[in-house]
Amino acid sequence: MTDFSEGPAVPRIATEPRPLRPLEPRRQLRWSDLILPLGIAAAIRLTLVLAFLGAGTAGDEAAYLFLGKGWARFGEYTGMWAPGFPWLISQIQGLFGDYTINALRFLQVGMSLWVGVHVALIAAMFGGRRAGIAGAWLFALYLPLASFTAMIYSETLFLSFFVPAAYHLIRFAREGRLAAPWWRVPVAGALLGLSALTRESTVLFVIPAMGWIAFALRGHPTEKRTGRLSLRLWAHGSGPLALGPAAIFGLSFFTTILPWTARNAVIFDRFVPVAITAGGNAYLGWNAGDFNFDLAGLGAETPGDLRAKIRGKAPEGWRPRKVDNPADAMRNNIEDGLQFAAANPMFFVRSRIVEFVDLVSPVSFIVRQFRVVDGFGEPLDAPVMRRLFALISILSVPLLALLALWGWATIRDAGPLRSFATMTVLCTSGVALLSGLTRFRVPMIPMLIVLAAVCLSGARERPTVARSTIASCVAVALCLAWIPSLGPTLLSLSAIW
Amino acid sequence: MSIGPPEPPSADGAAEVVQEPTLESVKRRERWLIFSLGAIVATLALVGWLSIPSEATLLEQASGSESTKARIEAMNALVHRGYWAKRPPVELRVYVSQQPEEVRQFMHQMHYRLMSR
Repeated sequence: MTDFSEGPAVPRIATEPRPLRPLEPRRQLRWSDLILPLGIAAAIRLTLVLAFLGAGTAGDEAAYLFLGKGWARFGEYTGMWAPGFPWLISQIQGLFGDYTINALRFLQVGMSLWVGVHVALIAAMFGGRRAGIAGAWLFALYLPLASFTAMIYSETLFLSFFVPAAYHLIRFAREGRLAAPWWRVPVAGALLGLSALTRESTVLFVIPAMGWIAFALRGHPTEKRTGRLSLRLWAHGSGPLALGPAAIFGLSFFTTILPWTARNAVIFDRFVPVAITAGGNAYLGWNAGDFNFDLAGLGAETPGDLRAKIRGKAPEGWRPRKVDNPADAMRNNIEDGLQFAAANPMFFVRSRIVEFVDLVSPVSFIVRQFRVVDGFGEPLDAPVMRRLFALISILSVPLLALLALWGWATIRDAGPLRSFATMTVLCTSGVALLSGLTRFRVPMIPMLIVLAAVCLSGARERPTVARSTIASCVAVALCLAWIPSLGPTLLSLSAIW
Repeated sequence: MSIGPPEPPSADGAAEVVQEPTLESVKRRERWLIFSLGAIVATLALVGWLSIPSEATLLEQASGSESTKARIEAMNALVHRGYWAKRPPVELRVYVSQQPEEVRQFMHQMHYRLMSR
């Protein structure tokens, strides 16, 4: 055995079994296992794409198309958002011209399957073949996520970078610093960089992810593969922090985004790592008003509504200062939003509770889309199909959340998975402190599916007291948070009905 | 064909002998990677910082460059820096009217809010 405290290391010959997955042997996940669930996933997504072919665009969809087509036409990006998705649209515009929207939707089906494969791989890493298959099925049938393949939003592209990054990080932690191939961490960093170029808020994920790597890879290398009983809640060892892999991850991330940061320096004459969307969110989120795009047009903000009661009486809000450079406007908005929070602490806490309520709401973007978009084709043109689709979408959100929570508490030998999923959920919920759209919860959904899949596969154990307590508290918080969402959810449904 | 991590060796695992790198060699490789990536990051940051053009340079590029693409790039940067927002709308309109057709289209289509002040 090699010890961290030893001097010059001696080459180590490992002759003992190296269980990379739970201790009892399980059958390996095979490509053929994924054919049926991912075939169903493809069929559901293609059906959605066909239904959306003639539908109009709504909300940010038109803006994404405008920016992408402008980029293709003039060779210059004029938007304030992260460039990844408009860049993809510009490339497709060059290839498919008038058929850009439909080509993009079909391409998103392929991206979605790529995400599904990685979800199954992560689940199989911890629960074996059964968990991998369960993960693929849950991914296939979770309609709120499937729906993004038919919409012109950046979520599917974002996940096609983010989930593989998560896979490489978790597998690196699972295999251990010595056994894992060296390229996993830089590849994960580059993939996270690409996801940040698609969705700006990912930048907030880098420092916690570096901390997670340093923590998850600490300790004796052999402990990483089996997990120590006393440390199963979070980690796998007790040695010094693994600062090297954490630094490599961070540097790979910054290497990926820096060319765009340099471009932004030319355009804005300011330091802008990826984009300047945070200013708009600060104006909408850290202010007296409360505009939730999920609920827009529902009239759910009427007096007497439970959400409104929790928010209480809003103090006087602030208006953006007039400046000429949008990068300065973003900084001003964040400053003003923080000042507003400091001046009205109780209102800020209450409004954050509402943001959390909105983040975990059973409604989702597809339910909203049914209300605001016209011109669906078959099979969604039939009202009964649309109602059924919306109903299943709404019910699947609480179901997955509770199943994943059960998995989080009970999965056996899940050190890196549990800690990574916790970090992802906390970071994603942190974004809700700014603005609580249901679209912002997308990064955590694959992790919830993995937790639920491993739990369903039977790789469970009796949870520790600490885990049981945490899971029970979160379950209660979720159930309480769904109560104020009941009104908007029913209004959404009745609008579709 | 299976996917995912390899299966643990069989019960008679004596045949399975895995040579793993030592911690020292792994740390050496990590240091080399950190140094290489750090050098790339530092170079990109330095080059990016040094290549930030001034407003005067951008104006010169927007009106004097033979390449339409370079003019569009310069105009886009001037718009985002707030150069035209600080000036009377008529000055922008006159300036744009003297540009080639593609630059005019770019301004009217992509920065229509600024042009329609």
